[in-house]
Amino acid sequence: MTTKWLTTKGLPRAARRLLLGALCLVWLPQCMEAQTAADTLVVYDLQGRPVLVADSTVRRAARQLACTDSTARQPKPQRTFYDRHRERYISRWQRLLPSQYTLQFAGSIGLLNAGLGWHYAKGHCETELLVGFVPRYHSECAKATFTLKQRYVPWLKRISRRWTLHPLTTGLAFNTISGDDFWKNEPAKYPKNYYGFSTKVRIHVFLGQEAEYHIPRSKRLLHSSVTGYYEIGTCDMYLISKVTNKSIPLREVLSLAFGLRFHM
Amino acid sequence: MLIFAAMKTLQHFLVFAVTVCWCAGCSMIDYHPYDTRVSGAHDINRRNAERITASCEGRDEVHFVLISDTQRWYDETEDAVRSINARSDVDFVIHCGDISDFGMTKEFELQRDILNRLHVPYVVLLGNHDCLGTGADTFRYIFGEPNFAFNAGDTHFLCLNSNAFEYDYSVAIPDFGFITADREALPATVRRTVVAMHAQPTSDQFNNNVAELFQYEIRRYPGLAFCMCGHEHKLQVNEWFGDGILYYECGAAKKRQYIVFHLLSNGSYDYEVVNY
Repeated sequence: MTTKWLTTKGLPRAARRLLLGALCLVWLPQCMEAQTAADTLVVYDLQGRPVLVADSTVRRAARQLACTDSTARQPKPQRTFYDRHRERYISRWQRLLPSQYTLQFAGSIGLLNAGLGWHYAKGHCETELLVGFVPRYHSECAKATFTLKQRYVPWLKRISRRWTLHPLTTGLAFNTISGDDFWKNEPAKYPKNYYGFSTKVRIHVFLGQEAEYHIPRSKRLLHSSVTGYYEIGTCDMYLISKVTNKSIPLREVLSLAFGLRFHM
Repeated sequence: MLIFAAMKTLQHFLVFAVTVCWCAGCSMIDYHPYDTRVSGAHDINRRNAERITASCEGRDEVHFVLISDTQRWYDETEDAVRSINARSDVDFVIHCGDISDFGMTKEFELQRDILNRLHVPYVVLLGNHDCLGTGADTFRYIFGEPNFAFNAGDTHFLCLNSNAFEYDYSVAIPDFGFITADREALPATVRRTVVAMHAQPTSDQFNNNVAELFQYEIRRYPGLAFCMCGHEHKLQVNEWFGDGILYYECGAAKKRQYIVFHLLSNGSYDYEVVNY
């Protein structure tokens, strides 16, 4: 009954619209004024004069002072099953983000190799994927190489705030090379086991040492630590040549690699 | 104190690492087993053929050794070199191919370095194992073209690539163009011819479709004495075409044997199998 005066049913459509427009014109600025009043803080300066401070300024100041605005506290969001599923899903896939980037020179897997990798098991295990290249030299063309490398680090010795030594690293690598000259399995033209080996896939074993430098937090740019390493390794074909021949010098079948690894 | 200890550990570590790398030097830097990055002597066959021709100039007696299939038998190859060096009656050595097992660059270098200890010049033919991976490229750089020929005294030595199967019969192997051109350019001093190849006619690597033609072509050389080969890793002598031309095969290095041929001044020849 009290709002009966607001009933506009009896009026024609144009008049109703006019009334609504007029109401908006009067009411909206009032609302906005009220809003402004709620979002400002009245403080008094030294002379006792009132000064209006915008709420955003107060919030910013509060943030800097690390205190919370009790009036602005958000209600705790309700995490639904979907939210939890989504979080789990993202965190699982995030684990596949590479945690290290590697640059390696030589080591019988290419002149220069670059790749990415993951360290896990508290830094004791590392898996790397490397792409390298072999220049042409006396062959017909340059070649690309692909390497899957698995490294095991038995000891991590933190010797100072900045340095961690890995006194021994050991591992395996599988390497393939591009080009028609190489085959994984013998082509069909050969009788079975004519050669009995693959010219494309090489298995490497290696031992090495590493020193990891932890970059101070303030000086980090893209990485948290850098590891310098060297590895001495050999591959299946070199190994079998050495095992069956006493006269080959050891250095001829061993291959040295140097590398840098950047950790995220 | 802890910092000093840590510094010391790091220092020791770095000193050790640098020493390892320095000791290793360049010889332990390897880019890939098939990288064809060769250090040391190359173009061996041409240089050594010139030496052979020069040392046998004007002679009507030639003595040479046939070895073959020394792949991955480095110890045995070293013994063969020692045994050949102990002889004083050898003018040069012919290696009938398969100097490498996998076609790896290092294999060619290691075998070359062993054979370089021979007191006499040597030449190497292309074997089927030498064609694997980038092996043929490495062979071409270190030793030379797979088809070549040279003269020693009054004898012409024709060394041919016969691994047709390895090239899918898509390359002219045996290369009749080369054979014809070589025969037509023979000097008048040649009285005798010896043909060397890795795989002989009838073997799985030879293009047996042209075996008869091959025999016909090489018989057109003046005084074809005999042919020699390797590949099957066993000592054998065969007369495949019923024309009196014998094919001598030398056993692989694991058999620890080589054959010494004596080409005599009266036009005949003699041979002995040496077990070392």
